[in-house]
Amino acid sequence: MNPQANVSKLLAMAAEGDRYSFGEFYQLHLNEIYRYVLFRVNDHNEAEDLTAKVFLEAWESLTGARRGQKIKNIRAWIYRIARNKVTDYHRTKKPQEPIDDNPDKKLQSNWLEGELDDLFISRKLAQGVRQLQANYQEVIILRFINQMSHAEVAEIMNTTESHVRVLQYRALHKMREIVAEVDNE
Amino acid sequence: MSETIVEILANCLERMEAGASLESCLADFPNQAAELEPLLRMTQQMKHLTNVGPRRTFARSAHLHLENQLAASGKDVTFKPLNRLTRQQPKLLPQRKFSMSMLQLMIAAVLALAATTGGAAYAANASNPGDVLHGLDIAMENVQLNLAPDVASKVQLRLEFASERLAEAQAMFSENDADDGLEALNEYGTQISAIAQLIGSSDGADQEALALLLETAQGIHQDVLTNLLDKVPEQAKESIQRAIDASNSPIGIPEDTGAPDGVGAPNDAGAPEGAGAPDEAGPPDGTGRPTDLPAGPPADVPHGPPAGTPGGPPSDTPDGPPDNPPGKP
Repeated sequence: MNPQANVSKLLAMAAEGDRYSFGEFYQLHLNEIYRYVLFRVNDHNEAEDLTAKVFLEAWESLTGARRGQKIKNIRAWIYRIARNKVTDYHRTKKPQEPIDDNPDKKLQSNWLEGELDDLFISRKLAQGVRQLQANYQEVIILRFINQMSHAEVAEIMNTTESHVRVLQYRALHKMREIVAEVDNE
Repeated sequence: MSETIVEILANCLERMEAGASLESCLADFPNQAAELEPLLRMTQQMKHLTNVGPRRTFARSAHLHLENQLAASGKDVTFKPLNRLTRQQPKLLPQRKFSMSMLQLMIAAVLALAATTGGAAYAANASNPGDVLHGLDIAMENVQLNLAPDVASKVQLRLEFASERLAEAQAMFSENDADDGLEALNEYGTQISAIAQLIGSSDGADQEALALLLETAQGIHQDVLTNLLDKVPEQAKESIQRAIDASNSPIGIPEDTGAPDGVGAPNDAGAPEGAGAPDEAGPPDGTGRPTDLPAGPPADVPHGPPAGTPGGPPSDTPDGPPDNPPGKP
């Protein structure tokens, strides 16, 4: 049985109220959802809180009003919930600000620096991700950090694959500029 | 037709994801190699970031915590239908009828709690006081409380949390961990006090129904506490006895309906203030618990859980007005 089918089975059992199946589903996707949320909100505590909310909402969606609704792509489904949570978070907690236009922010220490001291290049890249505009950031996180395909990213971002390819190209160029700036500082 | 650089980049990335080397891709597109190479190398370097994951404590406890939360929102007593009803139909239903409907649902919830409160197996799935993960449990509970749309839902949630604390106390005492057992009892008392306050802030018919619900739950809890009494060390007996006495006290719907002060008063509310006397129930030092739980029964519990104490006695609406504003009639 392919992994998607296994996860589908888990979710089907969860929808019947089997919370242990949902627990397995949770463990399967916890890390990647957490990572996605963390890179988008840049704060461990918020990321943990939002990740917990993502899975609670997924459970409520499975067993509540939308029970029985066909989920075509499970991974995309849980990411979309996470995406909405992150969007809500930015809308309510932090007004959008063009991070890449705010050079002072680049030098502020952030959560990753402590974790990745031994990986200088990763630290630079993490800073780069942090400073990208939201849609570039999302493409980079999904494609290269969480290693999803163009098709999966397109489904999560509710756009076309060709648009994802364009965003990817632009995002990588922007990342390269930012990392080069960090190198020069 | 020649490919655009966007398509060439995507093509190379897909090939590399399938196992091809970066060099082979550059060799196939010599005219674009200068632009492609740094971008492709950067994508390879980004794989290091895949190692970033949740903090160990969060990851380790993750699914246990979720299971706990899901147990608290069991399918048969899910909050969604109740919440939807309260949001969509309050004006269509006579207040009294709605309250009884709510009462039936909530009594069902208490009966479900009764089934779990008696079992140490239930508590075994949770983190317990003293556990470094316990703060996450509390944080998750606060998330749920924040999402609860009305007093009835909050009361229902807090009753479940109170039962969970009681089950944790059982588990801790069964492991001869009196300190953490007392801390769990203290948190139980905090929940019961907060419930009494919530009830005090509710309207007449709802207040009556909710008070009855609390009374029912306390009856169940009292059985658990009485059983516990025989199994705990001397130092804990007094606290448990006080909790039992508090459970025996009437909930205290004030004669003057809607006067929250009367309902929330410690003696009326059945708040087992003794459940966590300061000298006995403070969290043991060095538990690693990431919260600032007061060392004893919060002196202000009868007047409302303190705001701004994450992980401490919970606050339902940290960003908004309290459930039971002091001046509310």
